[in-house]
Amino acid sequence: MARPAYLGGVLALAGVFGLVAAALVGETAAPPVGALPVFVLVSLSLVVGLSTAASP
Amino acid sequence: MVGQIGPLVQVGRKKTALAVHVLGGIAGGATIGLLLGFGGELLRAALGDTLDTVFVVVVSAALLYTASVDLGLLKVPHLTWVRQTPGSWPCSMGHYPGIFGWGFDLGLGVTTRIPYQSTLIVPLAAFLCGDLATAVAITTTYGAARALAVVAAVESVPGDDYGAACDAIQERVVPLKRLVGVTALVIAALIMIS
Repeated sequence: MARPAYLGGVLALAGVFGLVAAALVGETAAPPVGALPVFVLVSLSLVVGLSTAASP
Repeated sequence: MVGQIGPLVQVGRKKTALAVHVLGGIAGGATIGLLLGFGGELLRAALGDTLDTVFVVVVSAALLYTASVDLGLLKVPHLTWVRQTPGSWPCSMGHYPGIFGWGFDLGLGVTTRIPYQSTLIVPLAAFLCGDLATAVAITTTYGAARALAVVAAVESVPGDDYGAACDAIQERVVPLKRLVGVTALVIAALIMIS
């Protein structure tokens, strides 16, 4: 596996996407379950999504 | 996954194919989020604020369970199924629609094999949060992350040696599983104290 800079860039892009999604929901939608659970669940989605794609 | 998708993007324009795959993942995640979020809104209409308590108890308990399985602490059969995205799609649908469909199918998260039990928390939380926007955010992030990770893996393969990339990934499955398990444990704790 090579090109770690490219790899890191794409993964960082995924992280930014998740953080923006969490921030948008937390700020504008006032989720009933609270902003923190939304943030942590979006984070879980990120970790699971990234890890699942890396599975064989 | 890389072993199957990698050769696909060699046909036609590679960057277009990968972009279409990511769009498919985002669309798949958003679609399942809309469905689960709508179901959750109906559940909230029926249960009211009780759903918030149900969310904290059920999602936290499910996270503890799935984390224990992913960490290897609980030796129980995995909840999963054997279906994979049909490799014939790019032929039967056309090249780019097939790659889009592949991303869409993977982005749904619940229609293909589930390698980590913590993956099950994504649709469960999206449903039980009882809020459409939250559900879409959770599942779309999953779909996008899954597709972007495929892009990262495919792009990082030197030449066309996708077999070697699969072998390298295979060696990292156990650490990845532990990473997911630990993350699930941390998130269970955060939800319980929030």
